[in-house]
Amino acid sequence: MLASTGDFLLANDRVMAVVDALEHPHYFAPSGGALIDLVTVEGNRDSLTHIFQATGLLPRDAVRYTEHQFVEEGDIKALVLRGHLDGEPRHRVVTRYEIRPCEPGLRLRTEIYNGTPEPTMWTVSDGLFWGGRSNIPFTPGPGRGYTYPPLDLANVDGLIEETPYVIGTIHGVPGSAYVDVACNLEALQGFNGEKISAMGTPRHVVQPRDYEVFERFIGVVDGASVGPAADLALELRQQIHGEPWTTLSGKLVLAADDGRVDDEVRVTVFVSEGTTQMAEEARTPWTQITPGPDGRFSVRVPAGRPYVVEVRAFGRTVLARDVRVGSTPGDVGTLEVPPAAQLSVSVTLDGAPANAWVFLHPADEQTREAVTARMMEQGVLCAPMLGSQNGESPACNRLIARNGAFLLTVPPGHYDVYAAAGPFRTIAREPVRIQPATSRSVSLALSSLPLRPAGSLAADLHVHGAGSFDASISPSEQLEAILASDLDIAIISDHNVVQDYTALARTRGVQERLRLISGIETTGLILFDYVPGVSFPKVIGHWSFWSLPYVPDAPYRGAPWDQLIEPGTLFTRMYEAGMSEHGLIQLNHPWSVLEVGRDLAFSSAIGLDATRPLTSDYDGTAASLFNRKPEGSRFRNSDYHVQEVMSGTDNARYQAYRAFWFYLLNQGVIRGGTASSDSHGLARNMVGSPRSIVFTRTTVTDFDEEVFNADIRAGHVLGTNGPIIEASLIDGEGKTFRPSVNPFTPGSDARLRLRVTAAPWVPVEEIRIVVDGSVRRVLSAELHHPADPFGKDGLLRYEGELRVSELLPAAGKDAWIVIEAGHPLVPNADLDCNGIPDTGDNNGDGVIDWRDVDRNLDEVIDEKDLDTDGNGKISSADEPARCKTAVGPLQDPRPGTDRNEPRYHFAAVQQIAAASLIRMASGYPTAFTNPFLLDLDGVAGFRGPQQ
Amino acid sequence: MARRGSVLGVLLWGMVAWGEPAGADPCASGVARLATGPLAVTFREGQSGVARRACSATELSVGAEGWAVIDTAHLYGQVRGAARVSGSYALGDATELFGSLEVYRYQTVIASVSGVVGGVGHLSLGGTHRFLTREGLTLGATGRLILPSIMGVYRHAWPVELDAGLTAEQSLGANWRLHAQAGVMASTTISEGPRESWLGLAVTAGAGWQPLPWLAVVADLHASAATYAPIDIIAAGLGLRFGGERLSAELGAFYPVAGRRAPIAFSLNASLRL
Repeated sequence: MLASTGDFLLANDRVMAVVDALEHPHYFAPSGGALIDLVTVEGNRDSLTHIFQATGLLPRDAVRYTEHQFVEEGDIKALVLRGHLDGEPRHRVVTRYEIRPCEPGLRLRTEIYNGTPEPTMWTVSDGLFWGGRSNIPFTPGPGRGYTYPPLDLANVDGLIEETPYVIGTIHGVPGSAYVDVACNLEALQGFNGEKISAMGTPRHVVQPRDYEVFERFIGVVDGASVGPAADLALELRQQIHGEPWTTLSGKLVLAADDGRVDDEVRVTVFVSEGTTQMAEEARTPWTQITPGPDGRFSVRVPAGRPYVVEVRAFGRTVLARDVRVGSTPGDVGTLEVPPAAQLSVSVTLDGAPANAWVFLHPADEQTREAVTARMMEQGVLCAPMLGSQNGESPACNRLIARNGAFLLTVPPGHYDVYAAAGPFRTIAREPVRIQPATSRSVSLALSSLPLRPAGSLAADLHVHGAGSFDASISPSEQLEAILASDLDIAIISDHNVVQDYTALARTRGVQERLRLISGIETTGLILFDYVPGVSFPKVIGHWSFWSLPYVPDAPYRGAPWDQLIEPGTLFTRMYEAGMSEHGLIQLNHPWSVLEVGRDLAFSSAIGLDATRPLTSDYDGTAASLFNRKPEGSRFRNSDYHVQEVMSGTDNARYQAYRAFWFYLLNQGVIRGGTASSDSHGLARNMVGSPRSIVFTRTTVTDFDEEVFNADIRAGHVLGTNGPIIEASLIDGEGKTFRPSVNPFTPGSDARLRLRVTAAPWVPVEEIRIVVDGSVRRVLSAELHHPADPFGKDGLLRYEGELRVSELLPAAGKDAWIVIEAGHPLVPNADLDCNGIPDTGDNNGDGVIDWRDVDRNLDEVIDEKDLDTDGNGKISSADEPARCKTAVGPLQDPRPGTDRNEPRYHFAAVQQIAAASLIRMASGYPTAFTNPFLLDLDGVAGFRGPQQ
Repeated sequence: MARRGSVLGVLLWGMVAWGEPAGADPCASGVARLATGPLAVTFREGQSGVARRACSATELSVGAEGWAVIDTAHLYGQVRGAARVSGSYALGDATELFGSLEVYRYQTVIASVSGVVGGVGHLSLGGTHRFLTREGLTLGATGRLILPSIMGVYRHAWPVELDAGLTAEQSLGANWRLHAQAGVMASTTISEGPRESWLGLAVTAGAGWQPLPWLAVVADLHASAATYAPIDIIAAGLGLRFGGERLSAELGAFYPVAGRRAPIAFSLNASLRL
């Protein structure tokens, strides 16, 4: 729900809709005037992200509204908005949102007039911004339904298809289903994607002084199933186009008392036009429905066609039946769903029930084969698929056992049930064989371990909930996950909006053991031209800010609008919006790829070259934007406080983030390093992994945010997903120094004292001493390894001292030291020669070169990736010039496949996605300290080694 | 407006001042016939604003034309091609009726999404009447009406346009000719939507040189103004004409030197004089 004071509310006896005020733009829209909330009066469950109007893909193609008018014609009420396309004021636009009594939605009419002398190319569309990990679009079409080709912005023309309607539904959390049906067209045209769909008129060349009209109905119904929304769509199409529909009904019964028949994961019904003899991709899915509590279902389908009624349980087809429907209602009869099993899980921590993460993993290949599935065709593969990966427990193959207990229905099989509760606790595992129509109980006992460094707080500085456009997990479920992960502090960093979880913590009674701080992650969505010399517009990536005042009735809940500005201006706006002067600005995932054509990181967006010195002032080049002070801003773009060095549970881009951090340290740009999960749900980055261990004198019970933030700014932070590094530098005069962004000059005979500990399930295979960006020393043979990964012993992996003089490259020069511990880093190369590693040996030939690049992003390195000139042959002509190649992905350590290997256990409780422990993204044990900045050159202050 | 009028005045005065001896008709048969009149290259809908020769003739033409706008900075491109049939009928030495039909237009617009459109294009009908001939100069009035005949290209609005102006030709010895046209253009649409009308100016001036009996070279400068912008386009054109008294061909192209997204335009026409 995004509505704020000043927005437009349209309501009748059935629905309520909110159109944002013209001065409250959201997401991709340059102005308000877009649909931001839509609910039924009865259900009042808003899961709409944003529906705006546009005629193409570029920011200039979006509609900017400048005027509004209310119209009342008897019972009909309308909001009429006037404006123009953002890139051309002479492309004039009028949109009318109309609501009539008794109708389950809004009638919309958009007219766009070409007032220029040039023909233009338009598809007048609703931009249906689902957000990702939220609503999943469904369209009828051969091989479609919930399936659609990956969104490729370079080839959108090839993705445009015709469809009678589009429906977006959210799964795994309570929500609504939204339907968009064209009224003045036989069919909608557009493309679908997990994050965004665009549906509207066919592509037309619109001549000067000609215009286009798009009329449609946008409706809402309660629930996650497509069925009721498709029923509405077919009724609309009958009224508008005279297409007859009829009903198809049936009844599902469970073969055993093993779950609820109205649970969409346990059982759901897909209805596709075609026959079981046809290939699945040739059938046309029309609807999908989850039965009511009595097992009955009834859906509308176009009359007079053959259909396949397919029943899915846990995401897999368990039976399919042919049925032909004439002009009268059809009935498929009673369908018996094969039995599942019940699993009762209880977890204790130190003997008492406590929140914990619970994971199910197939324990044999047969089970893995039998239970691997996706939720509604989309998202990640789960084994088993127990719930939407975006929703609440169970999500994918894991759950949060609230207060240590959970009862779930599972497909029969042989599983390992794991429990975990953060890096300072043991993990437990129990293998179970679950037969059909049986119940099993599993009890897992966890113990606290003496690993938490004294005087520290465990913080996740980057956590999302349903307030984010790309997350569905409710604040209350995310809070349970935070508790299960044993965090002291969580920064709630929803995209583009402030959220406040403190009342929730009070309700849960955890306000004294956990601090939930309201922050924001600003997220560039509207591309603009700010990078010189680059033909395609950019955004400024993602930035976190905390803490911010939460204003419940204000747009963005108190945050400022964060689009179309450089970082320095953004920083200024945040302070003006009430961020404390002691607040923090964090550069998130600082070297990233594009997502839907949007840069996720400022540093990579401007094309910094880490092989060259950083310019201190703006000189008109793209890279010098880093230090630019935008006009009217109080800050330079580089005036942030900390950067993420580890971000995301999968740790996939650690080598890139760390390389960028090291580059800045070498340039004398000193910023603290942090570690955050960037959690968007239970299966998309696990909250608390990784985390920042903040060494601070404040405590949770007597929390002082100013002190806490000051310690983060000062670099009193250890980033980790398991290993604990306690590092200090002791000189001959007895002075002790700890990692910090504050330089110091040690006395003679300085020694680096290291103590590395970890829970027994966290493999620590090496300790790296990094000096001025290069690994100067690796400790591996000296390390101890625990005998029992499920035990409590063997926490200490290394304790010792190293002479600093033996680590430094040259005497009398300033230097910095960072300590890392965990898994060895896998080799990755810098193929585009910008100083940041980007590509691993992905084809396994022992060499990292252009042949390792996944150019078509299909996660497979094959001949299609090598045919760079697209002539169908692979030859020397395909080899790109040095440094001019596409890059990626980085290679990570692979988790073990032996169920008894320590790496397997670590992966089993860190896994964020995928069906297989081989393919899954599970992270690898890693910890890093902030730097010791050694001021050794006799000149006050620290000078970066490459400064 | 006054300034534009002055420019036209100077142009016409210049043609008179540098003209042939008194009594010569530049439209007389055999006087650098291939060098007669401006290039028939289209910049806007239905040949609106395309300068018309002053000399009348009865002939039939077929041709192809194309234009392109390439604006990579704004990810915009437009390519248009058309087949055209034109004809004219001379009512004596002084008057000519003419018409032209875009038999088929193909047009593609390349933007963030791309598309094509095709269909029968505009039909235009017009006439020219010479009212003054002296000293190698001829001056006439010309007008053209573009009818809302286009099909499959416009969807909800159909333009109707009219242009009218003065056209002049001046022969300069046996091989050289000057030509010019200045006029106004008016346009409106038939539409249920907004009906925007505009008035604009179009000026074309150029020279033709016929060094060989079968070859002429024509250079033109075209400008139009005030339809959508103070200056819509200024373009320089160059063309070659081949052939003889009955059968001839013209290949012409214009390159824009000013104007936002002004097109590169070309045409190829073959004419049979009847």
